[in-house]
Amino acid sequence: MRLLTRLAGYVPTVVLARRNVSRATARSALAVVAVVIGVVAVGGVGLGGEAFTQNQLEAYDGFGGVATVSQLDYPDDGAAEPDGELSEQEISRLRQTAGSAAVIPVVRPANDTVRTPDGEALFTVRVVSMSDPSRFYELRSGSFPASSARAVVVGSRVAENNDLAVGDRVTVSTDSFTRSFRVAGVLKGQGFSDPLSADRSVFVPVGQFDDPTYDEALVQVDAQEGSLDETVERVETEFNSRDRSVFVDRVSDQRDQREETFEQINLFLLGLGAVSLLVAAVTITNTMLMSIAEREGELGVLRAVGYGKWAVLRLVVVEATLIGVVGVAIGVPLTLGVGAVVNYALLGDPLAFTQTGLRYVALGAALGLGIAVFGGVYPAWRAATREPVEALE
Amino acid sequence: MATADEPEPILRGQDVVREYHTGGQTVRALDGVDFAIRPAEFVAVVGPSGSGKSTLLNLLGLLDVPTSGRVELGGEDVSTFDQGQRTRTRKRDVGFIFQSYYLIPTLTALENVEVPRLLDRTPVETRERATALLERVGLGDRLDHAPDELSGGQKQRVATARALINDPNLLLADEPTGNLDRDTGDSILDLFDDLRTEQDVAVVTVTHDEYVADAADRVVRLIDGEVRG
Amino acid sequence: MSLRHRLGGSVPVLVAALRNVSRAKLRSTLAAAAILIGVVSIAVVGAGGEAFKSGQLQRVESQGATNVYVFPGPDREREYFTREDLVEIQETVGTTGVVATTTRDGQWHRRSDRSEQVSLNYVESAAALRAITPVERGELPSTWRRQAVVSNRFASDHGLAPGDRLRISTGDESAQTYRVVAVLSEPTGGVGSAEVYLPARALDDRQYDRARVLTGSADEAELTAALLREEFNERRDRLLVFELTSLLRLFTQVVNGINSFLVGIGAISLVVAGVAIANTMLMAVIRRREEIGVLRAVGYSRGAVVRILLAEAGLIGAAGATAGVALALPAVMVANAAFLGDPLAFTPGAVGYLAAAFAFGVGISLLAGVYPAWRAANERPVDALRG
Repeated sequence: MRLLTRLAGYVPTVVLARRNVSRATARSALAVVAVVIGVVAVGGVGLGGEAFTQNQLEAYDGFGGVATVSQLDYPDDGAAEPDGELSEQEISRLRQTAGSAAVIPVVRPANDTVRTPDGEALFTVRVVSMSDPSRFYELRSGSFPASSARAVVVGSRVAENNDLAVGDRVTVSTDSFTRSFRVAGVLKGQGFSDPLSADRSVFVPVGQFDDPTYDEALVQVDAQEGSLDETVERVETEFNSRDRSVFVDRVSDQRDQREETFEQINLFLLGLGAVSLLVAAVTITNTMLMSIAEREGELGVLRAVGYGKWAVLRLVVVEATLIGVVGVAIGVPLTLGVGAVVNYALLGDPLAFTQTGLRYVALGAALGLGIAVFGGVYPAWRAATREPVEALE
Repeated sequence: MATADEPEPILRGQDVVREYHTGGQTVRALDGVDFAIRPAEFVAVVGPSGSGKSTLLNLLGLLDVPTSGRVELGGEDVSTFDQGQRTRTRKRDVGFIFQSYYLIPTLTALENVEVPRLLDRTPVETRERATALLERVGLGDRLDHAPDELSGGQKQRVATARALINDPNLLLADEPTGNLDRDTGDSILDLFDDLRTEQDVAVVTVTHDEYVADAADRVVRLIDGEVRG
Repeated sequence: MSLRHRLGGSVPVLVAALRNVSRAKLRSTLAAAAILIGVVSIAVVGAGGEAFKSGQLQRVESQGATNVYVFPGPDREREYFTREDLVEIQETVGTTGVVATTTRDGQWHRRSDRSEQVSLNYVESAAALRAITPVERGELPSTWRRQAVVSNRFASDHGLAPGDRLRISTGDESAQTYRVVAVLSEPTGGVGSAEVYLPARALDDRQYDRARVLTGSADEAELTAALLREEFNERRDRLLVFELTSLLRLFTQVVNGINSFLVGIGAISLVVAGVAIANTMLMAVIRRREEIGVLRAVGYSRGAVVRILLAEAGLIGAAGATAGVALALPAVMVANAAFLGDPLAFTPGAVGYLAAAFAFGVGISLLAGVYPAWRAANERPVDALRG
């Protein structure tokens, strides 16, 4: 006797089940297809969502060791809102407190409007001004203008949606000026999670503002020279000991919140994808019901020759499980393929699988197997409790 | 009834009644039947359709329990057994040969014979025994054939080998020669004789075939659920 | 012949299909259940999303999407509108109303020693104010002189009611006292909203910093905006014209995109359900091989056999889809109640999704029935009857 056959002898139920499953090829194949679709739906949604999350969170890459500081405003008895302006004195106090860390004040002028050369006003575009945006952003084309230059850098969406390129002119109005600027550079796309919404912004050099009012300030700590936590601590002590006057927010915290939001959205989508697995369970139940109806006599014989209820139950459940196993075995590589395509499209690297993403694939596989077993239970129970005398009539 | 020189019966029934309820009516399939099957005995149950033959065979094979009366196997009342006990007893003591064989089409002849012992996880012993049994019934050259590649008589012999795999004391055969020509039928009857003489296996068969009844030690005639003659 | 019999006789295919479907009850029920789940997921997600979208749109529209906001353009000499300018705008837009307002920051002197900043909106007349925002409490004066109208948030934040007095000053002027006569009912936050509304005659210069053109719908607002741009901004930008319609369109586009994506994921389950139907039908034709052979032998054409089998698949799909839509309706009604305030406020989009889910469910079933039907119809009757 060959080794394989001998080994197979120790898992007789599986051997019997495999033969039975392959008996009705079309039927079993369709049930497998149902499982495959379900597994790919769950795994694919998980991997795709994960790739999207990574893609969006890349926007935070340039913001390591950064916290935002904004003035707290107390509108009439209400709760404090991070609103209002930081004065020059507060900025210099912030610089002293922050020590070696860089403090970059950000100007967001009120009543800002950006218009294209045709005079079209771009409602969704915001004007931002900060020294040295190259600290956080890279350019797709052009260069960063000097701080005194009459030139701006525009975000990727601003450029794409309005056909703006380096050399074009835009008109920027704020409450302190209306001036025409040359587009000096276009930023790389950052995604909508970017802390400064750079994609939808026009960066005006700080030199354009005679008397800037600072909306917020970014504090950047070089990891080799100090720790962001300590700096944040010092700022909190300096500004918020008596009254809370500023709001300090680590960009990494914002990132974590974003990530959590994305995870929740992903879970919702997964739930929706999992509905297809539920349908696959129904399909497996149906397939197994047909199968046991067809083999009523055979199953009766098994009971007659001494197979207990459990043995018959196990046999049918194992058959359903086999369908699940095959479905998962096909579905998982397919899911990984889909994931690789999405990774390539969003992240540029087909193999950029994350642990979380792979966990979703595993979840899809586990669910696929689980529903196969689950879908087999009722038909198995029916087959097992059928009286052999009746089955053999 | 048993006398001193006769061996103890392996299966004994007293005043066995089996009723079925269908469509609000009660049908009495067996109406107070007594029986005793002794080792190595060949009993033929004959009677017209609907006389209770199949019901009796099911009771003998512990597939069914009587509505009233007593069925004893080795001195124990089988009707008090739960389903698990009956299943285990059936496996140990009884071999079935069904009229339409009920071979599993996805399995080879050899594997079909192995089926009753497949779950025992003794693949080597089972295979040796199944091979020996198939050789014994003259199918040593058909081990790896699927059921649809076998003739009626060959299927019957595979079914017989399957019934013998657990070394039963009692072999129950429903119309063992029903679908076979006379020569093939003879070879099956010869096989039964060998089993009886070599291993003291008792054979009970339900048949319409007078030829089989003639070969039996004893004939039980069932009419309307009662033993006559 | 009974009516039922006669009716049945006119749709023999359907009757035959119905009989066959109900023969394998459990199997057909399970296949229909698969369709049901798929239809429910599409219908609930799609119609729920529509309700969400409509709710949001209604909110945005109530905040001024039917309005066109006009500001003095950068190429004007003066940074405000005079009455003459307003007449010119009025003539351009025709019959629709134009409401000119001026917003200022003012100081509210709550006590002699304490004042705080409030946003003021000066409006031409009480009629004009009524045209842009409804009143919750109090009466607007017919001749509006020294009365103030406050937003409901401002009123509730400061416990103000009609009859209270406000001392308000702007710029370097001395404070004037106004009597609160009405509270507006709209939540604040819309374009051009303020905390306190005062009569335009309280302004010494009668200069308006913005005008609002009131139209009947978002579409009309868009047309009006185009008209104004054409008339005033031919060569120079004399007006800045804004309307929310383009924003609305962007929002609608985004929500529609997300909704189709979600519905797409939900639709995967319907594809799986189609697989279940194909399975059921395949099983059915294998089981009824001989029966179908007999039909062919007694003169049924291949087309007739295909029709009967497709009708079976369609019936299963229709049963599942009907139950699915029936199950989805309460869920959609909950969404309607949550987003639109009325469980029965089915939007055309939502009805569209419900119909699409039903049609998709039946369509998938028919599609899934094609192969089994084709297979059954193409077997030679002789072969079918022989084995």
